Amino acid sequence: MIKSMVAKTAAWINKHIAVLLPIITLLCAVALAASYVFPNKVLDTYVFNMEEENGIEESILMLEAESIVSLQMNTGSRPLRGIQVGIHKNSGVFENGILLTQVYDSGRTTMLSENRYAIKDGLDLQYVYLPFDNYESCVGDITIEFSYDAQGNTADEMPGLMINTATLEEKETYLDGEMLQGNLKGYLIYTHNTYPLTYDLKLCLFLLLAMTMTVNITSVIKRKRDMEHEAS
Amino acid sequence: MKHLKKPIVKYVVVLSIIVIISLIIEVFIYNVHALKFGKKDFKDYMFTGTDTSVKTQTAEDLVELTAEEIASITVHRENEKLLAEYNGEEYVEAVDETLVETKDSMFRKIKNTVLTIPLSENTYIHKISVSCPVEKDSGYQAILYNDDKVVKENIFCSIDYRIDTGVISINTSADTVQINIMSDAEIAPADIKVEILNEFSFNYLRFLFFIIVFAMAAFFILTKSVFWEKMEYTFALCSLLLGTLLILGIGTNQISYDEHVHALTAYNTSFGATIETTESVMQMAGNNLPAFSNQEERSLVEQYEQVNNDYSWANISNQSRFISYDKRAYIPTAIGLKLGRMLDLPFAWNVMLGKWFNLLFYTILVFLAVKWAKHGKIFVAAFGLIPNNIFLASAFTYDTAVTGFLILAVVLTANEMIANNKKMTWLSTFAILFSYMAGSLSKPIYIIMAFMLLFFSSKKFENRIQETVFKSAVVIIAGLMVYTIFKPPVVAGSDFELVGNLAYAGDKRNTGTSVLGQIEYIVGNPLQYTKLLLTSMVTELWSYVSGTQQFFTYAYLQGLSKIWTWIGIALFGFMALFAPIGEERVSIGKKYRILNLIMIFGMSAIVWTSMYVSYTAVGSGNILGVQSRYFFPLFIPFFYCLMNARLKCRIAKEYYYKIIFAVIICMNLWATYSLVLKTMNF
Repeated sequence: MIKSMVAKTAAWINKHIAVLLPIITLLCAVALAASYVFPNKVLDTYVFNMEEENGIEESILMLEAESIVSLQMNTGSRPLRGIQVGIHKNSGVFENGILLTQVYDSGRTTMLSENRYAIKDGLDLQYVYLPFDNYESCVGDITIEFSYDAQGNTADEMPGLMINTATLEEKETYLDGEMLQGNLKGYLIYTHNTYPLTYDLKLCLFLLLAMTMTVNITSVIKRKRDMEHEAS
Repeated sequence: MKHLKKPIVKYVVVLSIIVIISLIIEVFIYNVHALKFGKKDFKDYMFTGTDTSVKTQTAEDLVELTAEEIASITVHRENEKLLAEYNGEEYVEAVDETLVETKDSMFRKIKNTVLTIPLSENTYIHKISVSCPVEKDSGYQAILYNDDKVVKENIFCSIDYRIDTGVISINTSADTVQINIMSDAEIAPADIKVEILNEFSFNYLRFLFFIIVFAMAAFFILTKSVFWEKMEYTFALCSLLLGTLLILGIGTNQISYDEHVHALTAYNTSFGATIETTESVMQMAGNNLPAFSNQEERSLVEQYEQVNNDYSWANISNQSRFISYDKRAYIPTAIGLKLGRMLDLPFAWNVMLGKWFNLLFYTILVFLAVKWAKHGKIFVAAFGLIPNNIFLASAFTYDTAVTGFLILAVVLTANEMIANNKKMTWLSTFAILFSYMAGSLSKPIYIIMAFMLLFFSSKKFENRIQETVFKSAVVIIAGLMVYTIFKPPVVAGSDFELVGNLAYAGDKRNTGTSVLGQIEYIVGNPLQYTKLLLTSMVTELWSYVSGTQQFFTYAYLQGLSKIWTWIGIALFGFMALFAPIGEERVSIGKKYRILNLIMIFGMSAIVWTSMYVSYTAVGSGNILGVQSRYFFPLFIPFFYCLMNARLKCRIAKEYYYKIIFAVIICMNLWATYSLVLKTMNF
């Protein structure tokens, strides 16, 4: 039963392969074109300043209301999608408090992006991903500012950001405009598009094209015409 | 019914005899020490450092590091320096206080604890087991005395800090045993336990080995036509039996080429979007699982691995569900690992099941190659069974897919070469190109082998246009695949900028490598490089032929002696040149013979150059890292060049095939016995 079904299917494919192959090849080409239209956006995580070796010490930089912690850096040619910094709740509950993250251009003239994070959502210490809206403009020399908006939260609860005493090239951390003897810890999140199917589809396309070249489509058309002619 | 019963009874009788003989060998030969000397009270063979008769003494010592250990420290420092440079940080060398560096060498500071154990009489010692708590990998030396004379002294055993025990075979009589324990910290004598193991121990693996040896012998004697009528089944049977034995023997020991890297990729592939990585898997990925060298240690290692394979505290990470092209070769292994988890198998068995699926996949590919080969089936089957191939198929590696698919592709290409006037069909085009592509996914450079299709004559195509488009498609496929070496198409994560950045490209297992730097060097010194390339190729080839380098190897376990290399060369040369009575062979023709040889030479040169560019320090006078396995896909095309229709030998088909299979199987069994069973399981 199965054998005869397989044999029948194989016979059918063999009979119609000269037509099937060009159609499948064409569909593959269409799929390849479509795969470029729908890219897969992926995040790239870059660790910065997360190791404490050779006498470097970690600490918590308390974020008092109205004080601003800023990180100056250069993103190179790629826009920064977001940042992951260590937010310490110091065992607080934070019913209302918000961590405000704002990104400015090099001259600090234009605000490029903003993120508002409800501190209550995190664990006591968590490296939270803070994505930037309109991140495409966060490129080149930028300043990322972190401030705490208590929003009526109790004054004795204050969050902190994780820092250490390491000095970094091309990155500087400031507290209320004064450069710290250390830097923020965290991860920089970039993004890029991938096209996961295009490579496979390209290979398939040329494989199918090679296969199509081994069937004689002209003879099939001719045979069909002959048969039609005989029938008429 | 009677007709059916007769062979069944015969096979049952044969199998029973095989089991009995194997049992006799295991009990009366391998356990003779237990029968003769193992009757003494077991407590008589146990000592601790606090026993009054045992003398203990501790002193500080320096141990010189091996060349490998020194190289590992140097490479680590270089890579840390490179990483710091890449991250724009200042490199500060970490201080290791136990390390003493001199101008020429490196030494490690250690504590040497000496135990002298007087035995009540001259006692036969089969094995010694030393247990003590150590925080880093340590070891001991055993020295045996009889009447104050040394009877055996160069006995060294390591103690893994995770199992705190080291067992070593002795097989000598002595009246005093001295144990020198070398550790990083001082060990309290009360914590040291020394045992002499003389008791009866049934080794299931050894028992299985002898069953397989005798079963194969019986298979050779009792069967006839299966060797030529169903050669693919003979291959599959041998491949699965020999591979299974290897997998069982090796267990979780990590001895294949970069096995930890392949193991991690296969493990990750066996999950969907969320990966659960247990402590044991992390150690496996770090090439850091405790190794065993006998049954006693194996049992402790497997217990340790099982305890640490707890998913309740596994590390959770995420990945894309999409399996990228370079990881697809791991899919069979991943299926085995997934199945093992579903069946809740212990860690060690899960690892073995993953490897077994890799073996099964390889067996299927070569089975198809043997089945579909129109001529020269025997050397496809024999090559598929060489110890190197069976070993790699029984390990975590993508080489299985590379070798398996390329063997299949080459066989199908040869079929087309022989049928030179027959038109290509869509099905054979698909099978050939798909095999080349699948075989080259993990090592794209091998797609160059598909260029043989460009030399197919126009008789194989309907018209000139179809021929041109077909050949153009092959060139484009090869181009697309080779391009991935320089710029991988799908890269996610923080590697995005690093991968494809030729300034940082280069194998980080060696110091001084730089892809860009090496290419500049070659372009700047073309004649010098050509000389180096040709000299290296000829020297390497000669080293195998002369026997100075082992050809049949089990990766880091080393290999069989040069006698086996010569037997192999003679066997394959004979097989390729001479057909038995009754086997019709056809030559691939002069044109394809020359083209095949050019392709083999070209591919070899590319392999050598790729190792020079990526693995060797810039401007080096040697090419490092080239291994015989890189040339395996080129063997079958080489045999096809020797295949001819004229030379015949006066041996009947049955005996011809049996001799070839017998030699290859003996080679495998001896390699498994001497390199795996004896060194890891006795």
